[in-house]
Parts: sequence; structure tokens; C-alpha cells
Amino acid sequence: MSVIPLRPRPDAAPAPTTHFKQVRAWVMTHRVSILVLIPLMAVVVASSLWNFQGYGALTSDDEGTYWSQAWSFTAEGHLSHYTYWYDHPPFGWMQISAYGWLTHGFGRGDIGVMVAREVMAIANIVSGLLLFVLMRRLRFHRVAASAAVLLFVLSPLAIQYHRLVYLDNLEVTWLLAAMVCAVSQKRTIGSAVGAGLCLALATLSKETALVLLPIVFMLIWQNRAKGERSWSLGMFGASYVGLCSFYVLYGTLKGELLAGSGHVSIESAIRWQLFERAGTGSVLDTHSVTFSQLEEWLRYDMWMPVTALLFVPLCLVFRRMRPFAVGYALQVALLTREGYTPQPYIVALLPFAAILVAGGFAELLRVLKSTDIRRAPAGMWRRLQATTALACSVVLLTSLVSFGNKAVPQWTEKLTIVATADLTVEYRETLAWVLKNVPKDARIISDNDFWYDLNRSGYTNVDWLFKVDLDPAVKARYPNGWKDVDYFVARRFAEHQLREQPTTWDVLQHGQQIFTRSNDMLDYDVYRVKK
Amino acid sequence: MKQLPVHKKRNHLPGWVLIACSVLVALVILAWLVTVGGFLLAATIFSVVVAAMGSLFSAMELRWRLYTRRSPEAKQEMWFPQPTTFERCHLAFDLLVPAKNEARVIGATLRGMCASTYHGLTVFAALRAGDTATINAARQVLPNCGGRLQIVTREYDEHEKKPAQLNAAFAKGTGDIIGIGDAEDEFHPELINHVAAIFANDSEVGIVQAGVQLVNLDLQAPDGAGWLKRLQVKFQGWWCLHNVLEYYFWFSSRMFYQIRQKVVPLGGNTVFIRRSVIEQLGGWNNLLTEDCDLGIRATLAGVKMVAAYDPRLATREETPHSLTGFFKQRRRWDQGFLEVIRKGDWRKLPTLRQRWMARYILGMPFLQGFYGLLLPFSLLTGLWLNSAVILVMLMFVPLVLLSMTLVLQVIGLREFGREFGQKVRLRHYVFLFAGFYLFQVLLAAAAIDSIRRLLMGQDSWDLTEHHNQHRDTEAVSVFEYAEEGGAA
Repeated sequence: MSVIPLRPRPDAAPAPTTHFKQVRAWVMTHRVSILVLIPLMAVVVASSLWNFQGYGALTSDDEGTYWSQAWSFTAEGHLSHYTYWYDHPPFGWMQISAYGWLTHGFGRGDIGVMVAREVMAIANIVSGLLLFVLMRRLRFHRVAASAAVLLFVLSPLAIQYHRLVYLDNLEVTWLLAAMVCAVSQKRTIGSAVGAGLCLALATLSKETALVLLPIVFMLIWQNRAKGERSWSLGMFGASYVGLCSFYVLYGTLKGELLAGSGHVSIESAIRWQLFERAGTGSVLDTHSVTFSQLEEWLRYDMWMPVTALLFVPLCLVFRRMRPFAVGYALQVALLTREGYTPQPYIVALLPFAAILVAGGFAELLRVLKSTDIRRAPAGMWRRLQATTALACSVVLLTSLVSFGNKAVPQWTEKLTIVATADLTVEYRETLAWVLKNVPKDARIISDNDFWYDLNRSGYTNVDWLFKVDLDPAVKARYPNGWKDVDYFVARRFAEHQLREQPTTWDVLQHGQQIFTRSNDMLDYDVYRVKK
Repeated sequence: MKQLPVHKKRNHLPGWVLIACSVLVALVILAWLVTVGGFLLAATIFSVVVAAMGSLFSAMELRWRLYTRRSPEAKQEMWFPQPTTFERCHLAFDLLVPAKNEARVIGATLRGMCASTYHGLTVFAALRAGDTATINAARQVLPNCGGRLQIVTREYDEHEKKPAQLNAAFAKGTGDIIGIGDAEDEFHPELINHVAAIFANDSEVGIVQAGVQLVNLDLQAPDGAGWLKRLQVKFQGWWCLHNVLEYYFWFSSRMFYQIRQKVVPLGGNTVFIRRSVIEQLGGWNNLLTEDCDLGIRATLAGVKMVAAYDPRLATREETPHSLTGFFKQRRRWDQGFLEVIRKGDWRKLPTLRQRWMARYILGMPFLQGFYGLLLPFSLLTGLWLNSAVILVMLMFVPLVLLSMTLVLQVIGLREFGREFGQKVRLRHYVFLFAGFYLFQVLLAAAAIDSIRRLLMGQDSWDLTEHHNQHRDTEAVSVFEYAEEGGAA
């Protein structure tokens, strides 16, 4: 039977009676996995926390945005520090907010965003554990499961994006939880409901999880016998839609479901994200932004994403690998569309890549081990087996050699940077300079990282530069445009981005750069406006 | 003739006193809230309470509907063991079939029961002396029954109902296991072999409840009706599939949940009980739902009960022939449940959990009815308040859970169609969605009317008429099963 068989009940051992005995029995059953997990999780934790303060330049304004929104949720009870306009569902920064509230994070450390990065570290540690459980539930050997986890946490591409505050990291954790539920060996309705709820939380963390709904559906389909499917899938779908519907309900109750003049709405946000937002082009067009984005990703790690892509057709052959192959291929295919591809798009591909490479490798080894050419009857069948074995060996060897050739040097170089570089020092210096030289009542426009840190340090007239032109309520505070601004404090954005913000553009034109700090990744500027 | 003693009703605090008291308390609280906190606060609290109640009920509903489908092991637990024969297990079965004004269906029913493949079976038709049409119909099939059929007739007064007929027929027989069938029931020929296996495998088992299923998704149009009439009848039968699904979930899941919770209102037929258990319990009480009452008393006596279900072995029945008939039947059941509640045996259940479960299970028609009626008001109040969005969102929780129930109904309808070889058409799905709330209103109305009747002291037995809608021909019908049955 193709469905993963039920775990046979151990008849000999009677059910443990006390909690202590239950725990002990559980530990005894899983002792080998636990022993494997101890060093493995140490690596996972190290990959998330090593040189935590130093690595991961503050390149993206999104980090400050989510952190400021998380702060607003706890401090003000709002979904955003400016008008919430349904750019993303709010559950992602609600989680960050909860962590901030529980650990007194709104006031700890010198850079606010670093607290949000702690949440990412936790999410990635949990993701690593879930990935191991997922591989084990798919009946992969512990070695294969560990390999998948190691690829997932040690690829420099993964470390780069796992460190930064992206909602996608939270999405991936919930997505992996949904998959772990979907392949539950007990095949209960409860596990299907769990998969639906976890996937809903993934979607409410970052809406792109919706694309992966068919993948979780496939996993449940594969792991249920015929008579169980309709019930499991029905309850999976119902719990998913049920939980997600609260987001739509929220918008509806606020009167913000459909677009209208004078208010934000879910409809206009979706329309903007899907159609109106300036597209980054197809990855097939070498001049597109998406293509240069791809080059940027591959600069961190070429080997894993490419190997995973080459493994896709191969993994489609093996039943348990099929959903992951489809999931990876689907997300890669979406890169070729003309629309907008965000920078952290790669994050949701990483677990799939790790599973494809480690799982595909394990499947090939299994095929190779089970072929016994001498025993096979002569003729066609024997030739076929020999060819298969040869093909498997070639693929296995090629991927090993390419790992040595391509990955090892690139990973060594990048991981050295991860372990030693201090890429946040420029931000600290800029912040310290502003705190020392700019008066507290100065009217400042800034990016969101500085927005939070300056507000917390007692600056009362700071606005996020993008809101000055886009939010009518904020714009009203600047009747004279750039003349109402005293300082500009922010990372250096791309010129085309700034040109779309007339007030900010004017400020930079009429201002004088009085302080700047740079590293390989980015620059920080402070401008004073000449009156 | 030996007549078993009939239990006298014990006088607990009458139900209406309790209801009146709670209504009064609710009114006082409401008045206090309105005067002290203003209407807004009262409306808010009303909505929140209804939402909390609704979430609880809907969650419980999901739980018992999914109980046997929660895991593959749970599904296996509901199957019958391998069938046995009389020659192997030596358990004699008496099948009691009480009937009143059932001349139209009783013949085919008795013939069908006598066609059982189990050898140690005697069928007792328990009839009322004045009911000559039914008696004649039963006598007509005597020659076809190979000596397995006995007709028990007796004079009963107006207040003696089905339980009295059961007691009379029980006293006539000598079998080890007593089965109960209704006048229109279509037993599977091999059912008894399977049930006997359960009793033979475990001598502790006192009662076995097997599955019953209504099978007609539509009402039957009279012969020779034109297409317009046929169409009309189809629309008039919109409620049938809701009734069918109630049975489907009840016998394929909820019965097992009740047995696990140790609060078991039994079904009215396809129940099999050891003679010793009936003697220990003192027979059936003269109540409208003697079956439910017997289940509660058996629980109290610590009798081991087992449920088993296989769609292929489920006893096939028909829905009432009209909406009015359905309403009356439901009202009678509700009134019977009220009688059982008032009788108060359940109060003696050993654990607090069981007593709460009994309150919930017995009181469900009423709780659900009132809740169903309150739900729209609570939602409207919530929307109208439009104050705290979070609060209003909480009020929608039961609605989301309710839609999950609706999803189960859809899957259930599809599975039912496959398991019982019924063609489920598009109109049935339309009726399923369009009639979902209407059916709840109907149930609520029946529940309220049953309370009215109880308070006014009416407890006549409005009998459900039967028209052989579930049978294809007058002869013992051939069982047609879908290829993919549940126990495959």
C-alpha cells in the first residue's frame, strides 16, 4: 500500500500509567534521535546566534518596519505605527510583538531591530527541528534528516536571510509545522486540522504561503487511505479557510474590505501587490531586477538552489519527494512571471531546496543499494538495472564533486564573514552621532530602523520618510514640503525609490550631507536642510 | 399473562419550574444590566454569552460527528467481528416488532426479518387487539415465514404504548438475546450473525446497538404523477436529506461517542439486549422514548454496551412521509427526552462528567434549538454594536465552527450516497446549503412545541405513518450495495 502504514502498536509494553513513565517511555523510544539531535541542534543554534550582533547588515527597511509595527501593537494597540493598510496580514509582527512584550524587548539593547532578530533566531531553530521531524516522518534515515537540516541552516544564503527580520521566516516555521502535521503517522483528523491551522498561521504571517496550499494538500492526500481522504482534506480546508477568514472579517468590520475613496482596503492592497506595484520583471529577462536579485542570492550560495533545481525531475519519480519537488518547481516558476518579486522571496524556497537535495540523495542511494545486477535475470531487465545503477552513481558522484568544487570554497568564504564581520557598526556610529548632535525637537524624516531608535531616545518629531508623501494624514503635517524638515537620517535608498517620494527628494536636493558611514553593503547618511 | 412491572414516574422538581426560574433569573439580570450599564452593555454581554455558548456547542458537535473518523484505529473499532452461526454459538434470538396501524408495511418487514440467515431466530409481531388490518397483514405472511413468526396480540388501553407491546412480546419468548425492530425496518439477512458474534465473543456485553439508516433523499411522488407534481414533491422533500444525515452521523459516530462517555440513549430499533439484562432492569417503562430511558438505566446498572456499524448491515428505514409527520415525530422524541430528563435517573450517574454529559446529550434538542434561534440576533447585535472589532470577531467564532459542520454535512452526504448506493444530485447539495438553517429552525420549533405539550400534559403517541418509500418493491427487496462499502 502506498500510504505510510500505521505504526504498529507495541503489544508487549503496556501503556505507561504516570506522566513520568510516559515521558520516560517516549524518551526511550526516541533515544537515538535525541542523541543525534543534541549536536545537530547545537549547529542550528550556532548558525542562528554566532556573531549575532555583528552579522547581517541592516540593508532592508522592512526590518525596522515590522519592528516598529510590533512596537505599535504592544504600546499603542494598533496594527501599525502609521495607518495599517493591509500590506501584509498582521500576525507576523504580532508574534514579534508578543516576544518583545514578554522579554521587555521594547527598550532593550541599542538597536531595536536586534530584538526582532532574536525572534527570527527562535523561528529558525524551531524550523530546523521541524525539518528533522518532517524528514523522519517521511521515513528518511537520520543521516538524511540531519543532512537536510544542515543544508537548511548552514547554506550562507540561508544564514543571510534567516538572520534578517522577514515575515517569510515566520511563514516557513508555520509551513513546516503544517507539513509535519500533514504527514502524521497516526493519520488523525486532528492532525489534518492542525495542518490547516498551521498553514493558516503561515498565511496570516505572510500571505505568500497561500501559494503552497496545494503542497500541503498533496501531502495529506498522499498520507491518507482512500476512505480517510475526504474527511481529512475537508477538515484541513475548513480549518484553513475558517482561520484565514478572520482576517477578511477584520477588514469587513472596519468597512475596509472593498476599495473606496478616503480609506484603505484589502481590495486595493491586493490589487496593488498583484498588479499595480511596479514589477521587477521575469527572471528570464537578464536585464530585469528579478534577475539581478537572483544573482544576488546566488552570490551567497550557488550550489544548493541550483542542485535542488536539477534534482526536481529526479525527485518527481519518488512518491514521498513529489510534493516537495512540485513545491520548489512551482515557486521557481513563479519567478518567471512579470510581477513583483520581493527580496526575501528565496526564504520559502530554502526548506524545499534542503529537502530536495538531502532527500533526493538518499533516494538515489537507496535505489543503488537495492539494485543487485548479478541476481537480476539476464537480458533487457539486467541491462535496465545496470543503466539505472550507473545513472544513480553518476548523479551521486557529480553532486558530491560539485559540492566540493563549488560549495566548499563559496561557503567557507561566506561563513568566515558570518563568523567575524561586524556589519552593524556603521549603524551604531550613525545613531550615536545623531543622538549627540541633533536636538531632540528637530523635525526629522528617517527610515524605519532610525524611526524606532530615535523615538525611543526621546525625539518627538520623527516621521518615516515614505509616509510623508503617501499618507495624507502625515502629509498634512508638512504643508511647506521640504521646508518643514530639519534633518534626514536614513540608509541610502536607490535613487528611483527616492524620486517617487517628492518631499524626501526635495529634502535631499536642498540639504547638505553632514555625516555619512559606509560599508560594503550599504551607506548611512545624515542631511541637514539649508533654510 | 405475566406482565412486567412498569416503573412509576418519580416526582423530581418539575421541568417547567426549572425553566421558569432560569427565565426569571435571566430577565432580572437583563433588567439590571439595562438599568445600570445601559442597553449597550446588556447587548454586548448577551452577544458574548451566546457566542461562548455557541462555540461550545459547535465544538462538541464537531467532536462527536468526527468521533469515529478521528483516526484509522477509531474507524476499525466500529466494525463488526467475523459473523458466526447459531450452530456455533447457541444463542437464540427473539426479534420483537411492535406495530400499530402499519398494515401497509408490516408484511414485507416480517418476511424480510424471517429471511435471516441465522437459524436460532424467532420473530414476534407485537400487535394491538383492535388493529385488525395490521393483524391480517401479518397473518398473510405467516406461511412464508417457515414457522419463525409468532403474532402476539393483546388488548391495551390508550395510555399503554410501544413499551407495553414490547413487554408483552418479551414475556412470550424464551430467547437469550432480544432484538427490537420497527414495523418498517429492513434488516440485513446477515445482521443477526454479526450481532451474535459480538455476544458470543464477550459474555460481559449486555447490549449491542447496530446501525440504522434512513435512505430516501427525496419524498416519493404518487404513482402516475405528472412532471410538475414530481417536481413539487421533490421540493417538498428538501428536509429529507437533513434527516438522513442526522441518522448517518448518529449511528456511524455519535453512538460510539456516547458509549465512550458512558451516557447512552439507545436507538429505538436494531438494539439487541440479553434477556438477563431486561429482567434485571425490569422491562421497558411506559414512556414516549422508552429506548432512551432503557439506555440510561442500563448505564446506571453498569451493563456493558457496545455499538457496531457497517453501512452494509445498517437497518434501512424511511423518513416520515411529510414535513408535518417529521415535525410530529421529532416533537414526540423531544417530549420523550424531556420525560427522561424529568424522570431524573441520570442524576444518579456516578461521575460529575457523566451527569454533565447527560445534561448535554438529553438536553441537546432544546439547547441547540434555542441557540439556533439566538444566533442571528447575537450576530446582528454584534454588527450593530460595531464597537470593538475584536469583540465582534469573537462572536463569529461559532459561525466559523458551524461552517465546519456544514463541510462535514457535505462530505457526509457524498459518503452516504456511495455507501448506500443513493444517487446524490445537485439539488440535494442545494437543499443541503439552503436548508441548513431552516432545518435548525424546524428542530427548534419542534423542541419548543414539545415543551408546550409537556406543560399542557399531552402525551399521546402521534404515530409516524410509513409508506414503503425505502423499498423498491413490495417483495423483500434486494439489498444493493455500493462497491466501496465502509468495511472494505
